[in-house]
Amino acid sequence: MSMELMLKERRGRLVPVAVILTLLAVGLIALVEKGAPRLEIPVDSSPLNPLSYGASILYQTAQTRYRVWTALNLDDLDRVEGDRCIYAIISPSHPVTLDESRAIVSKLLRRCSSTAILIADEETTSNTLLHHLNSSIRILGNRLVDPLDLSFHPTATIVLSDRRYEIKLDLASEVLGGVAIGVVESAITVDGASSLQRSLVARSGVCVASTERVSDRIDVAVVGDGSIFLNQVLASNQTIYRRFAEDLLDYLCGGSTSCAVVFDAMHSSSTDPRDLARVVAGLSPQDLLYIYMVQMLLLLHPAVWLPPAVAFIDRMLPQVFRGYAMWVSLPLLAVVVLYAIKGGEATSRDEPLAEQREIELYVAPELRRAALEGRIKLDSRDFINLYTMVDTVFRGLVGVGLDDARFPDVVGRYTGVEKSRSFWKFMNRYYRRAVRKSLWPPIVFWGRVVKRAVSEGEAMLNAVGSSILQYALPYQST
Amino acid sequence: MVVSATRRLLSILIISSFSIALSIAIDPSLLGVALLLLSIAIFSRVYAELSTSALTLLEVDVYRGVESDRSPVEIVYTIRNPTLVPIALAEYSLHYSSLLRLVGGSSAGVAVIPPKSSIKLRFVFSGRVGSYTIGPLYMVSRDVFGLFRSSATEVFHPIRVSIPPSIDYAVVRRLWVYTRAAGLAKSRVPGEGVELYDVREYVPGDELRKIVWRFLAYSGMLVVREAERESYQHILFVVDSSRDMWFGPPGQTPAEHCARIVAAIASYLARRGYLISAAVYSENGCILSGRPLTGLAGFRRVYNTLSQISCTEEGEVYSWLPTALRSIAVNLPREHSLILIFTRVASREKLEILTQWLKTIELKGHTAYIVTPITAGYEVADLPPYTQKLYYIKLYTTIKQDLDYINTLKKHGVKVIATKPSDIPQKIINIIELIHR
Repeated sequence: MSMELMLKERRGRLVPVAVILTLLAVGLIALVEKGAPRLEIPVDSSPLNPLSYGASILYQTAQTRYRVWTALNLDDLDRVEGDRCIYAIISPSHPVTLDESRAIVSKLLRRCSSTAILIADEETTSNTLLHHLNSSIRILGNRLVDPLDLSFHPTATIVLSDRRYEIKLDLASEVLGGVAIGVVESAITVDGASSLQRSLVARSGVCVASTERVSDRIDVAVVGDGSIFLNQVLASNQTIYRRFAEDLLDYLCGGSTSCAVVFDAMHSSSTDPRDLARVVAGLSPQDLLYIYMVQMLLLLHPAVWLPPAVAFIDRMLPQVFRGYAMWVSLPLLAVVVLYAIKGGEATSRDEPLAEQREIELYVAPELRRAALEGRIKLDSRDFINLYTMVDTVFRGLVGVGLDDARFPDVVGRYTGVEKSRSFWKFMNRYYRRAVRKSLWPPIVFWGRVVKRAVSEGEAMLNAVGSSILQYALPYQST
Repeated sequence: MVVSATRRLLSILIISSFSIALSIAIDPSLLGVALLLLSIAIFSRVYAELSTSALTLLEVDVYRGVESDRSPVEIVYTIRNPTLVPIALAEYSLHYSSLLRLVGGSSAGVAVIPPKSSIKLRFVFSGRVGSYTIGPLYMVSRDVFGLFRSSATEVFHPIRVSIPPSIDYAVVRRLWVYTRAAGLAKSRVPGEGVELYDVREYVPGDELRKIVWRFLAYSGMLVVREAERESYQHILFVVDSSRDMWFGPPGQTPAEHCARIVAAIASYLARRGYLISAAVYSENGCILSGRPLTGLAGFRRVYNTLSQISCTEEGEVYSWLPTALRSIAVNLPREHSLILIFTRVASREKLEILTQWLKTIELKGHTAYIVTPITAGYEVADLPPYTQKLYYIKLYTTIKQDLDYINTLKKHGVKVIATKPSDIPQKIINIIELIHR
């Protein structure tokens, strides 16, 4: 037995190919006219940076609890909405200027009823903001060294409300002023790696985190180490960092459900995506994959490569088709064209293997499908057929057909005379109409008439112990 | 087997070319990306060649779980990869007879075949009487990125699966009850029957109800009654399995109904000691069960022949029919036979060929009956009750045509049994009894 294989049906094209190609050409010309875009991607502790040294995990953590904004510039602060706003600056690369500090604070106070500033930094770049806020807290910018192993990773004890966190810091700075919430029990403070040898005297109770209420509407929290909020730390197995970050945000929000967290991204560095691998040091495999994906996307997007490519061709063409270069370039071009033509034949569409199609054989498959879907159409011929079938069955069972005037009385013994007479009249009236012996009724909806005839006919036949489906049985014989 | 590149490779090559161009024009660091992409393409090619070679070396076994048309048919392919190369992306597709219904497993999919290991692909079909082709099993291997693919390879050849009809034992029991009451011809051979043949000494395994208790009471010996085996009439079942007989929902076609009816009747007749044989004909030719046999041997032959019915795509050209009928006639025994032809007369041409053949057969002293189902009745079997009636009305012309052909046959003096499947066994047994008397 041979088999029928299912072939993939081609979809109808709603939009002609020519229109799509025209639109594509228009788009590409527009891209060339516009020129290559300036591409930048954050590389340091920006909340937009998913690499190891970014703060995207902190951003996502905050997002699960509160409404979160990213401030790429001062205008972004005008969109912030919330009862209480937290402005978080994590290890800024660029110093916060006095004008920026003024603008940040005034915009936040205008948009929110109260504000908390969270600074996590080991440098002095954020002190201007603290100064503007009239806060007594300052980040000294020195480095704390663990006296036990002389590493830059001393352990700090931070207390938030009634919770206590033992956190290992990384190149942390001492914090002065305010109410100390985090201290390193014992640490050597140095100004730089060279000074470590000179001052090996450990101090006890070195403050690394402070809070202060600078006005009725402004609170300040400063942590002398921004690295504890970076992705590589928050993504590590030690959940204490993530818990501390969550609790710190909760503490600063003060239980407000409409708290808004604004992450400062305007003081972060960014670079051209093509320089990512060169600029960022200490990359993990995930970082490399991310960089690779970004570069691939850039390569694929014509906005990046089309304008320089067109410019390059524009520059090169006059040189190529001049002098001896023409003799080299023309054969090369021919080779490329030939390869393109022959290469097109070598590759093929990766079609899946043909699947087996199962079939069912029916006398009238289309009709059967229509019957199953309930869209069977009935007309006068169907009524004539039905009439003949009912007539045949009655003749076989009770000896009278539908054209016989005795029908109402004979069948009435089983169904009641009135009922059988009504059915008999109905069938004969529409039969005459169907065979065009009569023109009454003038308008007939044959679908409804046939369905009614089927229902009533089946009821009548059931009364005499038969059915329309038994039509063929009087023919049975041996 | 050929490994060819897909369009994806072209994309990779285009991106690599752009990367090289951009590395010259803009940034040399992009050359690394281009080299990476090219190395992926080369690695993929090497792997595709290796996995394609592994595909050709696959060792495949097949298990066929076939009982009857009432139980599902299970086909399990065990595919062993004897090589050290893992086949990471093996796309498979099983081809099978389009009349079968796959109810378990997927006819096409993707499998991973580790090195020096085996996997199993299980396919379950709903049972329906007949002989069907399952296979070939095709496979295509690809590299992990889909840059290269092999051509479709037949990893296992087509197999033929014959699904026998189920025997409706309720029908057989009904026939027993019915015929026990009737007096049948004596065969003078002990066996199944109602007339007393003799008594003999009890042997272990005899039914207790056959023990003559009175004899035990006065002689102290255990003896049993033995009945006389009834009949020695040869009955030939001829089942038409041409395309005319395969209309209707799966399992409810006239051909399948006829096979089940014949199986039930043959089971009954075999136990009654009748000589039985069967023939199945279709566009593919004619299959005969062999010489008429009695008992279990006869039944087995008939049963196996019934499981050979099959449907072809071509139909309604009956040039093959006279040849098939001739081969049946040639193999008929000289003694009087009762021939029951299970068929549907779907055209005048078929009617004339059958009528002519039946006349020839009767001239040779045989008795022949045509047992014909009414096709439209089978078509409505799986429809909702109200839709059944509307569809039945729509099929009026076809039904009428079938009935007209039956009437024409009768006018030509052909004996016809036209009734619903459940009544056919009873009617046939009636005929056998009448002929016997």
